[in-house]
Amino acid sequence: MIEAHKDYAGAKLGMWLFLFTEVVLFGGLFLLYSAYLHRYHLDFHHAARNLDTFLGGANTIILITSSFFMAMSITALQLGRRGRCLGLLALTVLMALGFLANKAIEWWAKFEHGIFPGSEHLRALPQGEEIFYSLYFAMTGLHGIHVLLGVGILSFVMILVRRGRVRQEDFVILENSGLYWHLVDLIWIFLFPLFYLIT
Amino acid sequence: MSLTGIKAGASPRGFLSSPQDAGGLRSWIFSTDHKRIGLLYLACILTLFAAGVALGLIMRLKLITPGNDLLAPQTYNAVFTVHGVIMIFLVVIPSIPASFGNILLPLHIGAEDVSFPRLNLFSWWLYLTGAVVALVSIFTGSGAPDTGWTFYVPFSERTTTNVSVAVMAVFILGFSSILTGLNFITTIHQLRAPGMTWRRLSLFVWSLYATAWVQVLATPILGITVLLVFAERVLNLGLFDPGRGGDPLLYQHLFWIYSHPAVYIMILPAMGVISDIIPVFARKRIFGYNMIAFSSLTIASVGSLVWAHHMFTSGMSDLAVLVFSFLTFIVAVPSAIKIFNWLSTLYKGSIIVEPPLLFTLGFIWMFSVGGLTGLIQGAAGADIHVHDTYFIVAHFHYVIFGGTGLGMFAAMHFWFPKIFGRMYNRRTAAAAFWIILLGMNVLYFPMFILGLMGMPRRYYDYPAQFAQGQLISTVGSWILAMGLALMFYNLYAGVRRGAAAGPNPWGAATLEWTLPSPPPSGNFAEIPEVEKGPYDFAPDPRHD
Amino acid sequence: MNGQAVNVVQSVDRTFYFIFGTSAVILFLIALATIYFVIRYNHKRHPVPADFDHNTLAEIIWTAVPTLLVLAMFYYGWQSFRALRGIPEDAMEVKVVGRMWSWSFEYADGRTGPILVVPLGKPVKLAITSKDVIHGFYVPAFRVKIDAVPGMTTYAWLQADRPGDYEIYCTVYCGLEHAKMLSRVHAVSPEEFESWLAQGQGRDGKALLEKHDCLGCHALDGSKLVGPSLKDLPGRQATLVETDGRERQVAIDEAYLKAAIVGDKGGRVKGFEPSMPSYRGQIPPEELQAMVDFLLGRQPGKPLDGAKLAEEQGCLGCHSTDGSILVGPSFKGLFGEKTTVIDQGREVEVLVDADFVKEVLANPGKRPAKGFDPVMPTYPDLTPEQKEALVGYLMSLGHEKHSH
Ligand code: HEA
Ligand code: HEA
Ligand code: HEC
Ligand code: CUA
Ligand SMILES: [Cu+2]
Repeated sequence: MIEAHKDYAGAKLGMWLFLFTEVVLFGGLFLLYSAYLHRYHLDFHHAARNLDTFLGGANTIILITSSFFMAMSITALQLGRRGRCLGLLALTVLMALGFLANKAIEWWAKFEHGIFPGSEHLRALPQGEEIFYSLYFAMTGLHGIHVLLGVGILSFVMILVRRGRVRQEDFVILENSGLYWHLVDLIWIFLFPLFYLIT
Repeated sequence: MSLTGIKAGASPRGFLSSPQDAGGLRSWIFSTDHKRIGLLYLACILTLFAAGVALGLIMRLKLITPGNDLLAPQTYNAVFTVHGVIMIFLVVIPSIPASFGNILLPLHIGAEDVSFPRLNLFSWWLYLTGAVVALVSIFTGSGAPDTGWTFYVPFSERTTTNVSVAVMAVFILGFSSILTGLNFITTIHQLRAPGMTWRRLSLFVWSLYATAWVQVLATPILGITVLLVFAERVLNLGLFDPGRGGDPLLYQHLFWIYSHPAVYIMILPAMGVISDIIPVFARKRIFGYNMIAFSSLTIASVGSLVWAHHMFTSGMSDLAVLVFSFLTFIVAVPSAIKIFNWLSTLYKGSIIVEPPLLFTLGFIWMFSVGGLTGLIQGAAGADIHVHDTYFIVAHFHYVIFGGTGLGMFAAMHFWFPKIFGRMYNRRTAAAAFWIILLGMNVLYFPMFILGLMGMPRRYYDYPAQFAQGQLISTVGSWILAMGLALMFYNLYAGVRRGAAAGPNPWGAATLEWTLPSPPPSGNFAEIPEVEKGPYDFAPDPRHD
Repeated sequence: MNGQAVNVVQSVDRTFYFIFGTSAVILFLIALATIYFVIRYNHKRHPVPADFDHNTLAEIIWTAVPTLLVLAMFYYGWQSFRALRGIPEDAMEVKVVGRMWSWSFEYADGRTGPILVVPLGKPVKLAITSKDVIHGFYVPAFRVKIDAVPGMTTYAWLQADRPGDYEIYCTVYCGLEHAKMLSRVHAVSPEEFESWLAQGQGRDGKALLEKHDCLGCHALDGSKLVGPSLKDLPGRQATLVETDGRERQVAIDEAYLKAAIVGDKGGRVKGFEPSMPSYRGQIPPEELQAMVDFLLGRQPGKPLDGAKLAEEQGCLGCHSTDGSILVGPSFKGLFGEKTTVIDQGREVEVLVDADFVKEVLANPGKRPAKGFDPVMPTYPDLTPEQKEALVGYLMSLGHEKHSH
């Protein structure tokens, strides 16, 4: 989204501002989360028990690793090792896809159990639990969309790197995409304990 | 002083038809020239403004007498919703920053363009998309949305009208606004010309800067809020549904966390315009530059903490009422400071009365009325009585139309010769101003009284005791309509046939006036070296 | 205690006067200053502007003075807010329920009504909630306003010191008929209030049957005395023999029962002599109603009147009784007729009978009537008796149509 510009500092500043808006976007949901956690403390506790900590944990590791690869790919390009950079980017994208697959499995299992927004099953549960699941779907869903966007952006950057539009001397686009990816990772690191570990 | 940025052999129509111009619509809607984008915004905003005021006029016609059935109840409910949505999200929020901000920001700081020209164009496209989606929501589905511009849950979850599409429009518009803000902040930080220190920025730029931060920090909250309304309706999420444990008050908090700061998105740029116009026509440096710049930042920051004054009757805790009422009063002080600084700038000036100054004076009067009545609403006990009555309707029309609206008109009359290189008829402009001022007061003042008498807002019909006020108000809307029509006609005629204006008809001192009118595509032939402040008038002021 | 309400209103109004007064002065000064400057310092009269661009003292003054002013405004505002919120201990509580698009008020003894009747000089505490969306409860005369939020109870209080009627408005936009969600506060002397309340309580149907000597002839246990037993009347049909000997079947509903009591049902019940006296003009309408309610099996002690219930529950906000279309179909002539509904996307004809009405009440969205928006709220809280009463009411309105 941020175009190549001679003004590196400007491009970085713009990106940081954008990331800020993303944080605030999720911030709205975090506010809701904390308000409801306060109100339905016990229900949240119960509902969280039904989430699969293993799957969630695996996803956390996947994302953290991918962030690591992302950072490495930037260093690689800075050192002028384009092939290595591309490889690392590919790995990052793969891990992102893995994350999404994992997420899909997790959601699918929930649907199988009749747990989806507005389902009969949820309505039968205590209200706090239903709210918990609504938040769960809203927040992980929005995060999932961001991961998906990340996949798109990183694949696009891969093309740019291959074409030489992004290169050792001019890699701000790669760097900004990296920032974006770290943000996606960071948000997950908040989501994970809030949903999986509060029991 | 190397302020001679005049490009040798620049086309007399400047950026309006630059040499490399292929001409035609495409050269506009795909142009990354900030001035063209600004004009595109201006055109869209004025068109939508016309649509919005037409709806206002229709509402007034419907309300002219009790029991009038010009509009069916459902239609009326849709009309005020659409009126509010258009005015807020499509007109006043983008108004000055997106149009004049775009045109002038790079000129004021001595830059070639904004930091991200293509992103800028993208913002405009987003705006256009949002506008189209908003229009789609009116004409498709099972009827135009009927929730009021506030989209309060749980009503907005239940109504069968086309709310889902409308909130998506708001979401898209929000992103357009965010990207504009982001672009402006970066531009102001990065692209100031050499010598353009922070304290040499024009106050208009300062106000844009403060506004941009509000846009960037507050708008995402609106984004997520309307997304949630969408999810509630479409995905059956139930986060705000009291029947399922949700809390509708949380929605209101989220909504106003954005929408109160949004009123400062609306007013700050107008205040910036006023701060730039007054010294020009008083032939005097602005009084209290630091205070004005600083108060913009204060309004932007403290203004983010007062949102729940819209919720004094919502059932939130009394403690919250205490806190928010207090903060509301605090945020009124920086506005007061500005007013007094403007007055002091006029004091002992050498005042030339031209249309831009008239609109500026109109701004000061009308905004003061609106702002001072805002104090009534900030006072917890008094707000209980006037909340959701016509008093509020009067308050915000005074601040929005009387403030932002007149500020926008002032900007239009001030920068008109710069943008088009021509001059409108000044006497007609002055006449239009007085008619608008009269119409506005006849239209909106009775609403204060109606509100104090207890007439609730969003009523398609009302008991007989309110008939008189409503009638006067409707008559006012016709006067206002005449004034507006005259003003727009005059400007239009100016674009077509106005006399050539020259580079600096007002004798102003900010950078844009050093360029030919209209400015050439690349702005400054060479980036200027700035050596003085924006309001340093030549020691011997121009006489005419 | 007396004069409390006046105090609240005064306190709020004092806030208004203070802020208005201050603002008017400031506004006047500002307007005056601008106009004066423009004239006095016009470039013709004052060609050379002064050269100054700040004055620390002045700036401090006009920061400090407005700050003090707004703090005073805040203080007054908060004081009056406290007065509005400080519900006296001895206040009488009334429950207020808002729904699309009507109000209902419930008193301690379970009596309900569509207007708020209050005794003079006594503080009344309002416990307010909503059945569907957010509404706003507003009585301008008392400066009282608070939202009615579903799933939550909010409180307000008021005290009337002068008899009369005061408008109640709904201030939060709540859909189509928001503008018509009106009611009133009816302030009466404490004695009147007591007797009004007592009326409500004395409407025990069974006691009234005794009072009016009905039970001398009618048994309540199913046995046959001089007259037919009054047990299990609802839902049954009566066979009437007209004077010319023809027989006809009539559904036993409210209208029928009332007619029967005043001797107007047009025939005698088969198997009995026409020996019942007419009570025309002898029984006050409330008592008549209470007896009928009792006979129709509506909760004893809390008599149920379908018409009243329909008003309280807000049905009449959307359904007319005169054939005109508001939001939903008119009740007039609805019952016993065929109507077209949308059942899973298909149009089906159904008969509007007791079962269908009950289905609609439980789940209006399931088979919405054709040509109407499915906006009718569900009524999960209705008791079976109440549903029965509503059915009875619709039946009575449907009946009318058949008769002409
Ligand atoms: C341009 C937009 C704009 C601006 C600038 C303002 C400015 C202010 N507004 Fe307004 N407001 C709206 C737009 C705006 N508002 C809208 C749209 C709504 C309704 C939303 C809806 O419900 O639909 C609303 C509603 C609203 C409410 C909610 C009322 C209710 O619903 O019950 C309140 C309550 O406190 C309020 C207060 C204020 C205050 C204190 C200011 C202050 O910032 C004003 C400061 C200005 C002055 C004080 C005047 C100038 C100063 C002087 C003349 C000097 C002397 C001053 C002193 C002594 C202090 N506003
Ligand atoms: C920018 C903001 C803005 C502006 C300018 C206006 C302008 C007007 N509004 Fe406003 N209004 C709002 C923002 C605005 N409004 C909002 C946010 C609400 C709240 C909605 C809600 O409750 O959700 C509202 C609500 C609102 C109500 C309350 C409805 C209710 O509660 O029931 C009313 C009632 O009279 C009203 C009337 C008017 C009128 C008569 C005008 C007049 O100013 C119109 C005057 C203009 C004309 C009469 C047209 C004539 C002009 C021309 C023909 C010129 C042609 C133009 C070009 C060529 C460009 N508006
Ligand atoms: C908010 C408005 C509203 C209220 C209040 C309301 N209704 Fe309705 N009602 C409707 C609408 C709209 C329909 C048609 C659509 C539908 O069936 O859902 C309807 C349909 C009906 C029908 C079926 C009519 C037909 O032709 O299919 C009956 C019977 C009925 N309502 C009874 C009641 C009763 C009894 C009450 C009060 C306890 C009530 N309604 C309250 C709006 C309302
Ligand atoms: Cu109920 Cu508005
Ligand atoms: Cu506000």
